[in-house]
Amino acid sequence: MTMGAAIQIDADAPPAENPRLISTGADNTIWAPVDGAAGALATLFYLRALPDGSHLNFPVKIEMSVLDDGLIDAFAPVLQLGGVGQSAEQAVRDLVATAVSLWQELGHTQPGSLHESGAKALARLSSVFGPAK
Amino acid sequence: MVYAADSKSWSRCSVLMARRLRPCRSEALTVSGRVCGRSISALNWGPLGAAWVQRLSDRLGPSCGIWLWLMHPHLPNSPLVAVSFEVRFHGDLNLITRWGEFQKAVRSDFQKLYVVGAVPGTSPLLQPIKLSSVDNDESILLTISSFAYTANRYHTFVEFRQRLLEIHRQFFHLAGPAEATRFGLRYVNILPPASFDAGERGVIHPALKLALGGADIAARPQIGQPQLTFERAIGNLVLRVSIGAPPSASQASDDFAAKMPGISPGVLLDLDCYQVGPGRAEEMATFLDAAHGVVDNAFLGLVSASYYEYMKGGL
Repeated sequence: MTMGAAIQIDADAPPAENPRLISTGADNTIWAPVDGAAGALATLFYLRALPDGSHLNFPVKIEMSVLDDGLIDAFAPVLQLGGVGQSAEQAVRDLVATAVSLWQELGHTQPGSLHESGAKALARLSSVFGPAK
Repeated sequence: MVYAADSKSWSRCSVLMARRLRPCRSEALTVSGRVCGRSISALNWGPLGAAWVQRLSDRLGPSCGIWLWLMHPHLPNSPLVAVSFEVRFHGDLNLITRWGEFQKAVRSDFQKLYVVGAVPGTSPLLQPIKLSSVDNDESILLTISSFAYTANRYHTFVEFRQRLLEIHRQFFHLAGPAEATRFGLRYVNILPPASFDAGERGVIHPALKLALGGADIAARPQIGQPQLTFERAIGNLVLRVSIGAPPSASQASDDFAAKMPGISPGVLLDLDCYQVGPGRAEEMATFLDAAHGVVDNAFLGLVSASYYEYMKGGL
């Protein structure tokens, strides 16, 4: 497009002049907040390895959201566990610390002494981290 | 899927459902829907579900339509991050004055306002403004030639459809009826990051059945995520499929993904079903149902069996 060219915005305009795909507004659009609204964060990331470098059995989906008080929440549906922090990084670290701690705790419990829900949690954690060490 | 059935057409309805169930026939699907305009509660789909719908149909008689949506079982690792509907119309500068009234009408649910910084080469009038809910789970984009609603927490098509129609009604109550020039329904998915091993040839993404072929170059080792977009005509609809790098949500998201070890933003799978041409606002519901069926079929047809297991929470 050259400077000063007229832009026709109706759908019967030539394809090159049509508005770009804007329906989600996320196509490399950087939104400027008005009235103190916080900047948006992508809602989904994948955790491929732990902060110490250990690889996971498969990428764990992490859903990010901003809580009412401005804190960031990171939730892993496949683990049914979440973490909270002042930043996205802190929230994920909190989630990972909780998951690893629970995995080790449950993994060292005598077989058969776990409640059904604990056994299920261990199965979920072991599918991601492997057998508890 | 939306299908109107009565006792006479039940056999055809059964056939359609059986076809739709095939990709995940081992699952206990959930059925919900509306009977004579009223919602019915969900139930586990199975042999009993078919009998239940038959009994319901018999009881209500042939004059009462049954609308059914088949929903897939809860998938904890579903890659869906946003579902968006957009209607475009001829540019109307009167809308600028109506935006204020509309914002006032929906402010209790959409308290945040976002604008876009100046983009070189793009007219400010073509850049949208965005109204968002406090938790950013829902947003509305407005320009002088389009209206779009996006849900970032999508539970079921039934819920999405109901909410969209409610907001859209408020908008067009203020903006007045307009001839639509384009309807679009878009499902944005973020697939897990792909790692290609040296033995793989022509793979677009391990989660997808798509593959490159027919040229020597496709047989060379893959060293990065391929990016491609293609379109297919399906009746009077067009399905645009885009695969590649996910769009940037904000600088904060980019910084986070770059800083945090082991974190990846994943790979985009964008299914955009649209219809171009003159249409009336009242045709929106018909478009929505048809486009939802197209996107649903396309998604299930594209993903591999192993990725479907992953979505369910398995390996």
